[in-house]
Amino acid sequence: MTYRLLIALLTAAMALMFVVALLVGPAKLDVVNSLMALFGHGNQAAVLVMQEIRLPRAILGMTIGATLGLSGAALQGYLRNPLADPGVLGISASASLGAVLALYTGLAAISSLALPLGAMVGAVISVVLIQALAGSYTGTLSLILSGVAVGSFASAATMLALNLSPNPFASLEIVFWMLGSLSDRSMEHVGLAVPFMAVGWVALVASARGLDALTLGGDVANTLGANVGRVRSLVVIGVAVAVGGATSVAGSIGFVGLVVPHILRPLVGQWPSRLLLASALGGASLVLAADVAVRMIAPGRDIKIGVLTALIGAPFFVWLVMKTRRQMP
Amino acid sequence: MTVLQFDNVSVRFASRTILDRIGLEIASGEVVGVIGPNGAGKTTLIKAGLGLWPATGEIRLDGRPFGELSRRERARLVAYVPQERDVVWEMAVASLVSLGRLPYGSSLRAGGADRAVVAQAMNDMDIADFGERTVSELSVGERARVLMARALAQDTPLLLADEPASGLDPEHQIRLLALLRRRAGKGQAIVVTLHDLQAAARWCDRLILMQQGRIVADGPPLAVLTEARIAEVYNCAAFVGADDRGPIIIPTGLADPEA
Repeated sequence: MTYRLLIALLTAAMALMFVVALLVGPAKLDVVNSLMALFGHGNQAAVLVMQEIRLPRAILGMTIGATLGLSGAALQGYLRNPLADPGVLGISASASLGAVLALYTGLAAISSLALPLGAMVGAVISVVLIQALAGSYTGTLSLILSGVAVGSFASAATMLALNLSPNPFASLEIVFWMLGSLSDRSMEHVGLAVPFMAVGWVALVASARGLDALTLGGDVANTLGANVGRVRSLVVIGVAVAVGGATSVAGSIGFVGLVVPHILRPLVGQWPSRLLLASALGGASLVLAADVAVRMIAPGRDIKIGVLTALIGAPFFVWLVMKTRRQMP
Repeated sequence: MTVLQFDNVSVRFASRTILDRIGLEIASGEVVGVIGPNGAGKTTLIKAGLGLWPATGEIRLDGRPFGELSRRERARLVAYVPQERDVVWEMAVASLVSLGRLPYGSSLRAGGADRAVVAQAMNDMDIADFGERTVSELSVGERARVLMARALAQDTPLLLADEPASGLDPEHQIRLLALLRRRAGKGQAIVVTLHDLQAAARWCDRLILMQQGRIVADGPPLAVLTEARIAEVYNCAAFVGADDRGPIIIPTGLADPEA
């Protein structure tokens, strides 16, 4: 399969899932009425459902999925490790901590901006910390270790916040948010998260050629004319900004960044640069599909999308580890 | 023509001196073997020549001071083959070799001229038939040649290879070194670090013997590898001779078992 055909198919799949995501929901609307309501025609309730509930949800599903797929592909390329994921660098955990602190302190109740900004601040602080810990050394081991340290600390602090939570309702809110969900998101959330994600995408896409050069390691990349330090900054900052934006509105949706690049890698001839766009499109389709699935499996029960991706993703991760182990001598 | 020049080059790490005031010149068309015991500074010498280790003194590539060259200019003057042969992604051999075209702005969309260089590099390393296979399907010796071809595809006047023959059986070692020799015959300067003294003496035009960060001897193989010097630098007794096929150098035991 050629690269162009693959991209065309993935784009078509994403567009299809986007339309399906718009058409599925507890409100019983048929296809024609749904689509008319989307553009402001038909009865007011239907217009409200389509424009205020389903459209932002579908847009967020698509952009957050793209962010997770793209971030996973970029991190795997940069770290030269198929097990890398935005979670590895502790960025997701730090974004979670920022958001949980916003909930815990009650700031989130005062302003709807507090939660996303908290997540973003958490992600950015984690990147600054990781960069400081890892130093200017361009190796990947120190980066991973710093990420693990920062991530563990962030998780512990999140648990502490949960531990000290003033009332059961606050804990419930924190837990539900940590599960990851796309329900009840508005256009305000879209306006808040999408610009950050877009900035992250630009940084990640700019790292593409550097990732190809890194195929044979940092030293060879250097002698191929790549600026390894710059590639590293682009990847780490791009992931922080994009994942911070995504996590801020949807909580943590795990394993998408792990699964999608792994499945698509053989289809792009293993090229790290080509994997970026393919994984963004694949991630968007996967999150949209998962969000449709949670609505269809148990309508009215509000199963969290993060729970579904983890249920599918964790066994996949185990399989991947076992496969990697078999390949090692 | 001189392609690489070291003038009073030193590398220090913490309080240790790894390279001590090195001076050398490498000319096009020669195969230079860098030899010496473990820790003599061979790898650091290679890495200093690539700008991978910060060094004092002056290093010139193609007559121009290293610091004045842009990343891309450097990448078009010197290529590198590291000792490690791990390849993470299951890329096809032809794709892997085409990575060498990155300094010219192309790899994925390798056009006519780039493709010809890639094909030539694969031919020169005798791997033209492997194009569609992946690296994990190859033997260690074949993989070494693929990684060498990747560096040759950079089409540079100078190639620096760190232990390219390590871990190879005699057949693949001879094949690799003979192919490098042939490549040098077309005008490329090739510098390789080696541990096998016999292979170094047989396949290199010139040897640079290092000990504790210094160059102890530099010249034709049989002038560098005398019995006395092998005893002094390696603490090995050795048989040194030659026949019509070239030098014969065999370490036979320790020179001073008490040392």
